[in-house]
Amino acid sequence: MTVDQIVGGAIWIQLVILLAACVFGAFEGILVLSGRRRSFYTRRRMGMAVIACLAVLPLVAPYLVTSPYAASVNATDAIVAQVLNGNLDISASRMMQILTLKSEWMSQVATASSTAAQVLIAGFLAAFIARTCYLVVNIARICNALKSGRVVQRTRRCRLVATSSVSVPFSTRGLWYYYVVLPEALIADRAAVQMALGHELQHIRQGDVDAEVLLSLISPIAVLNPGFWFLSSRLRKLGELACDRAYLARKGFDAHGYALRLLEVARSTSAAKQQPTAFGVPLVGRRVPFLSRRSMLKDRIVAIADHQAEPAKEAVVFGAFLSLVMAGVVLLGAVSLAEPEDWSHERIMLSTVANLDRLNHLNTLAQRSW
Amino acid sequence: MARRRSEMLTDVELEFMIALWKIGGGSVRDIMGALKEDQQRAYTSVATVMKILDDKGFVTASRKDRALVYTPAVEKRDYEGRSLKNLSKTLFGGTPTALVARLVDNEDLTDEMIKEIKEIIDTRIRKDDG
Repeated sequence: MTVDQIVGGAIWIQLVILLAACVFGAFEGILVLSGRRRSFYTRRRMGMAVIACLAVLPLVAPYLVTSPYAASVNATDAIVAQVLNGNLDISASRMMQILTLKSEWMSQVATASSTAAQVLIAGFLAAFIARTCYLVVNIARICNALKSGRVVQRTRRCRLVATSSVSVPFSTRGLWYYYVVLPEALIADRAAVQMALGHELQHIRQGDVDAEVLLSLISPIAVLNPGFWFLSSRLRKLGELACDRAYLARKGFDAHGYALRLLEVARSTSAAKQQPTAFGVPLVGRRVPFLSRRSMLKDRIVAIADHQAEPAKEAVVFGAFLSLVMAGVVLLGAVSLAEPEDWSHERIMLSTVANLDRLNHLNTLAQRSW
Repeated sequence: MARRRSEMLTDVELEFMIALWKIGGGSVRDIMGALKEDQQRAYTSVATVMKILDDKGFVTASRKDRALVYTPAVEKRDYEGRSLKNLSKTLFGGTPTALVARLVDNEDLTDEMIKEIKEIIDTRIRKDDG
């Protein structure tokens, strides 16, 4: 693999994440505008579909890009075709210049030949290292919480651990098991344990823990991508809202008591200092700057109140259909943004027209009487 | 009244402990002699700090003739390990670096927000036992 290919791949990944965020945002917008704002399961399922697409893309992209259909959906070729058909008012030579700009820019980044490219590389590396260190610290803190705790209960796939080193209940996963970690101080309160455990097990059941781990693992390469932070914050929030609803839908759970407990945990731990946050799903959620200035807890409480007043109905089939359509759009978009292996018919035609234009220009100069 | 046991030493206490670790043990006068030129303090100040260190459990005091003789109760190596642990806690514990902390902070609920949320719970969510 050459440096050019690595740089091209890295840029493509960033573009695909940005595209996936835009597609997800657009689908979310359509749902909200069509009065389905409270369809948290459907919206969350769509978010999971996007994350799943991003996760499998590096594996399937080589096959998709080389498939016979890839050339027909390539974004650059589509624009070139429009230029050739005369639908875009731009000369062939100018279009060629624009197309070569991209490869020139990529070459600058690959060789770090300009100051802007060096700054870009340095910024990316610094963010990558900082985020990786942050993850390592969090892994260490989670390990510490698990090691210092006592296993209260074991099931086939899950371990319930009580530890005094955390103050907010959270769930996470290792290679083989899921872990629900509860503060030692909470263990004496039976109702609190039932609520925290139920909430965290619901997170595990609906795949939030796996999504959280996956997002954490890809975060170092996407740490500077606003699309990534938009996607992860939306998914986290929808996960919490869906989790609250699913938990309360189970018979025998009191919404008032649940909301009060949530507030109590959030209040007593708003200044919690030792929470491992990168790989876990804390009970009371977390704040992402710029994207969620509002209180996440307040939104959750309002959603519980709204649902109690007027239960939202969601069709599983509709959600699955939307997720499939969205996954298709993301994959199609990813292929359209990929660099084709060879020049397409359109690119060859454009190059020919540009060369003819150039020759014509030279001939005109030669024929001119000086 | 017994002073609250603290895991870590203040800067001044650390200066005195370093002097004490150097000489292995001694009276207030011995410790003063082991302090560097620019660290010199009055006899009473040194005696006070050594009393604090005794209360904190970093030294043990025994009477020899009429003077108190202090010996380290904590090994230098143990304290170094403890300081490293404390440093990592300070760096990565409650207040990590700005970028990282901002990305993952728990919610900082103000009193007004708590009041507002409590009001929503009390007025809009009814008690329902199934």
